Amino acid sequence: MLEISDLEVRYDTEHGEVHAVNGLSVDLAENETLGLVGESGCGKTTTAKSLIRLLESNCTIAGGSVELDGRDLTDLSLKELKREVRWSEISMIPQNAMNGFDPVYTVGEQIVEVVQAHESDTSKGEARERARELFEKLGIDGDRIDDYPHQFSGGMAQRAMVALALALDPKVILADEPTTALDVVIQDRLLDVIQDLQDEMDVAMLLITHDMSVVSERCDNIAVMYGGRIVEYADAETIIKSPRHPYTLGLRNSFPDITEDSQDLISIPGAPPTLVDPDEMCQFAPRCPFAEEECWEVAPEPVEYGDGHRVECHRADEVEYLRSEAEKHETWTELESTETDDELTETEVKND
Amino acid sequence: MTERKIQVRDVKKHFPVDDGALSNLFGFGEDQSVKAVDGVSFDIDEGEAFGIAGESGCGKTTLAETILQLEEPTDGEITIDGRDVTEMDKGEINALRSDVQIIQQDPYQSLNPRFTVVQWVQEPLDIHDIGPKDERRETVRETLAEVGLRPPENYMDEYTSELSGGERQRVGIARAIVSNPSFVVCDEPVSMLDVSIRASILRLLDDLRTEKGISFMYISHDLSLLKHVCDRIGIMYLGRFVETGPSTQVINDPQHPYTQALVSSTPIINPDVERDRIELSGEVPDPIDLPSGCRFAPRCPEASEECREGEPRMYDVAADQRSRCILHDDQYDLSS
Repeated sequence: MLEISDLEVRYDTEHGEVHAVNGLSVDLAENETLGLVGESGCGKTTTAKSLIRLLESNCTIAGGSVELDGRDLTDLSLKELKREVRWSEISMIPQNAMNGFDPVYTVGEQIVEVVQAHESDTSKGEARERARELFEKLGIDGDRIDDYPHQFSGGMAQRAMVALALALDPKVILADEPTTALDVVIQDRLLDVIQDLQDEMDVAMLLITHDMSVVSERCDNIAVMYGGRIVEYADAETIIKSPRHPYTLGLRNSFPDITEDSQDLISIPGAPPTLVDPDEMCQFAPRCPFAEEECWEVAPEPVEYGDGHRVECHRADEVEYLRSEAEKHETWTELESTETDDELTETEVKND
Repeated sequence: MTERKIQVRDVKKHFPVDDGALSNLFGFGEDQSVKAVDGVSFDIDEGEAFGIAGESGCGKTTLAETILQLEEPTDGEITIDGRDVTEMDKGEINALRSDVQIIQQDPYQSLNPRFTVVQWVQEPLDIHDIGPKDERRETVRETLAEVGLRPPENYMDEYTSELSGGERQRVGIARAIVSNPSFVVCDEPVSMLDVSIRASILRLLDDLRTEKGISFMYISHDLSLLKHVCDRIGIMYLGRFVETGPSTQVINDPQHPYTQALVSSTPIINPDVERDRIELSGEVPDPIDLPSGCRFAPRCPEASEECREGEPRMYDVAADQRSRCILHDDQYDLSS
């Protein structure tokens, strides 16, 4: 239903051109939940925002296509996109609902406004009734549509945001860390409610999060993003249980598992790339304990490993070795110490 | 035999509620207070890591602030190394401040961006006048190397605003340990950091604990994290502990219905493990208007009439594990 192909999104900054999204391709089927995971700065929020062009002024879509039911959204003018796509076809739940609502209007007024802006023949009364129904489905008393955002608790406000996102019966919801600011009990219930409504209304969801346990439980498929690209893609179980990309292995092994009594958690050394005019290479190579010469010189092409499992890594064939080594935290810290040694020698040389 | 480091006995911190000028003037407002911390007791041994878990608003941060003497307790006793801190004079409290430190949640807001790394880390030494002045820079250099900012020369004169999140948190840790404290409170020390670098910060803190014998108190809502770093934990609900014990045991085999609900709401990364989920109704009630009887009863799936009558005591449920629930009472078991 939603097909993103070779998407390129760039920021024009004083340091140069930042290739925030750098040739990203992924599909989303009807009613599917796709998890998009990765560190801050990997381009996951930019990807979501570029679909409905909620981009900052120095940011442009430089290439690729975003097809929704066969129509390329990148061909639309911003005006057309706002009228025909935003909210009605693709809507967004931001990380913090309090920032998503205008504090001076009641939540109901804001839902009515969005509905009427897109459906000129819907009366105010009908729009209000729809808002009430959605509130009830989300487990909020319908009368509370007349409350102001500040009268809601964090969990309630996030539910109200879900109501707004679903008000125009969209095909896709982009959920950017929708539960990160919430307590675990409230997070769990909200994800349940969203999942139920998603099934009932037949909506697909792009769930952006850094929480591997949430995507493991809630998503059909998972796309792991690094340096503006999807470096590994597969169904959720494959990504969690048998990943091939060293970055996915690192992420997986850095995440504490509440069912384990003792764990050797790893840390991925270094920092994500700035993506300013990036070189032609594997962007993960500087932080990868398995990087070889080729990784620094050639960007890996995506390789298929059956059932839609797609990996961009020169060494993905050596999976047994990668998996056993990536479990040990020394594998990752040794890399850190060799780097530091290099720096030390450099300083020593300078001092001499 | 390890020594007892911190002893907290029945500590309370209540904040008065201001009803506004009119009620104060005419005196018709009730004397109300927010019972943020309402009778908490626990011990932390030397070199031990104790964790406090609970939802936002349960009072865990206020409890930490009270122990650190940033808030004066309304009632109760806090002893550090056998000395009651609630009875210390200003000079003694000041001396205590170099021995008891905090590592804060947000490395982007807890560091002053106008300070260079060396200024920021050296400040506690200057304030408490620790060590000769001309050696302090060297102390800072050594501390930076110790927290993994290597080589320290590359960091000393950088502004903190130029560092990454992980580096900033290391600077925060350096500042906390530079005065050689024996007790450190960590308030959500990694929640603002990317998952990929959290383990290195946790490992650093744990090395400081084992190598220097520093006692740690971790505050977090993340049970997986607390299980990973803490020896023992306390689960807090509306200002009181509902369950305490060895962290592995409390999380693997929770006894209090609230702990059971918290554990069962935590998502599991392992797709082979199915969660046994317990639904909680409602949200945490207002700490001004506490429910009578068991504080958790209004949300508890197992609550009965008796739960609303009086607040249950802590029951011993297993070795070193205690839970505040009437279900553990033998007499209750007999009658039901």
